[in-house]
Amino acid sequence: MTTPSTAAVGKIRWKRLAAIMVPAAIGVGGLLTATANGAITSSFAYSGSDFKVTADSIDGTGFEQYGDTATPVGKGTQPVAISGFKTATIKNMCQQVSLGPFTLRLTAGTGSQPVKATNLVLSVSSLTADSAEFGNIEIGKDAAKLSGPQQGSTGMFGQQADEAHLKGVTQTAWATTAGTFTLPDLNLGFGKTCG
Amino acid sequence: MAEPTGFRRWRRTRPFWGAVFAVLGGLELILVPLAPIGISIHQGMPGVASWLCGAILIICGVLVCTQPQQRSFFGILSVLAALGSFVTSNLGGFLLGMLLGIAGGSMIFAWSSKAPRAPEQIIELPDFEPAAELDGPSSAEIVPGFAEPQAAPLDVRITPSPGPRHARGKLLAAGVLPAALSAHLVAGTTATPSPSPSPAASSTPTPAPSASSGTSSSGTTGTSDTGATTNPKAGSSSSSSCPEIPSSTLTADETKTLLTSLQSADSSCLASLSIPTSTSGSMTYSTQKAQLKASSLTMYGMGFDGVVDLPTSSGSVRAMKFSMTKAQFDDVEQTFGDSELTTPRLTFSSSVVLYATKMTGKLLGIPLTLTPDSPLLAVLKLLKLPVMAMTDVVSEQPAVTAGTADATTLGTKA
Repeated sequence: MTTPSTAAVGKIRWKRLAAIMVPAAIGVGGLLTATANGAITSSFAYSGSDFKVTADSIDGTGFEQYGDTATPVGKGTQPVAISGFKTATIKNMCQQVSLGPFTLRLTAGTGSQPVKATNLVLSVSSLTADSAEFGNIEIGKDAAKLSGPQQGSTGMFGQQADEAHLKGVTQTAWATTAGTFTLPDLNLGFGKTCG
Repeated sequence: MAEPTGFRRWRRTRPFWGAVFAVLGGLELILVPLAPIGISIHQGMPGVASWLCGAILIICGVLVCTQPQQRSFFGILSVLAALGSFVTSNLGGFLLGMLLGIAGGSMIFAWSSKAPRAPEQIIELPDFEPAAELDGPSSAEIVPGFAEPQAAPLDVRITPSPGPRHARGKLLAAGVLPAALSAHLVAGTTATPSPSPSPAASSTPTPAPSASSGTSSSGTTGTSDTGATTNPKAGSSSSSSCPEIPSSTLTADETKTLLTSLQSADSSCLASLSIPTSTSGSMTYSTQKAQLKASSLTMYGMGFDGVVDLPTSSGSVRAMKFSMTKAQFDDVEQTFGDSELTTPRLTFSSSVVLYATKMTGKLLGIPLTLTPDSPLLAVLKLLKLPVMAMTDVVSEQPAVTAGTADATTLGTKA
């Protein structure tokens, strides 16, 4: 079957490619920057399983905490405590999640360089710390007025602190989001658990 | 160059590789949510189906193969769909689908068929015969050996390629449209920061806090420090009359005696006492049901400031305000909503202010219940003990502001 004679063989014109790739690249860069700065909000669809995170210490600024609800896949509405840090430095972070029969373990910040995160938000079902210190703390604040990375619903009970230093942290989390997350000495593997 | 035939020709006559990348990007976007990772992220626009951008990419890739002359439209649409997928479909299928879509869409747009710049204008002329009226011998005689000149019919082939002006216009459109959409996407999202997993309730503007704290609802304004009745004699009086309220600062024992007698005294005795008022900080207070229980509360340098109107999102709430230099709670159980916070010791220091709408506990062994309407608050104002301990404390709607806070073995449970 012959093609119609009007269809001509062609090739990619590089000038046209550049003309469209440049604004597309700007768009991608803009979207990534906006996400890192938290300008694009993420409404999170939680996975159906929670995961465990431990850390030797979490030192942060712009700390906040309030209660909220989450609806993980396959489960009903669960209460979660949202902990947020505008900036956080985490030493010896270990994250463990079970994927079916396997356990995936992620460790970072185990060496001289700690993990650094900005606009870090943890949705936890439980959090324990061996010790906690807060600077300039306000407890009982309206969760919608908190000055951390994320705000809660109006009228809900919230607390915030300019600084937070937590030691020996263990949490069972539904989700962790961060604007930026720097993980030095990242190690990912199956089989082991987090202590 | 030999004309390509068959599939190769079909492939070369349309933006094939661009379409392939676009279709691959679209497939990746659609299949990512189905992968057994267990996490899907919807970013920004709830309700927009995550498969929409992937479907658009696949359709564009397929259609451009059947209609290569629409490549500009499909190319731009593919790039826009890929950019949009970052927001609607799992961060662009974790970036891979978005990049494939952008590459594919760009290649589709950039493809054009190999038409020369100046369109071929070969005009068909009728058979040409030398004009009969030309003088001179016929050309056949001039150039012997040549066949009779006969102009071969020439084909007209005006190719349907656009002129240079059209191409420039298309380049402009290609550049402007994605740039405008990208700018709008970024600007729109930066201009509207909104809280995410919270329900759609928008925060109502809080009533101006400074306005309300001046007007006290308990009916007393501008109370003096020394409380109500100024009776220079300290100590208790006979049981039949009201106990005397001293004007000076009391010691612990004097307080204990006074409180005991006040408890057993007639309620009308306390009616004449005025409850001081104070101003609250600038914090907007929560209205969610919250409670703090502690086995003991030790306050250093405590002073009762008065009753305040705390600004909340839905009006103002009357609460009691206590200031101290240090507060130590033991065996804390704080509940807010369904969540709970526990710690065996919680210490606040450096400009500590405590608020509560209700407080029950034992002060110096005497059970007390304090609310913003309790006349006892007037007495409390006089207490300036360096150390004051309450046990079995339960405070409702507690709020604290402090310079520093320390907790051991802190546990939060949602």
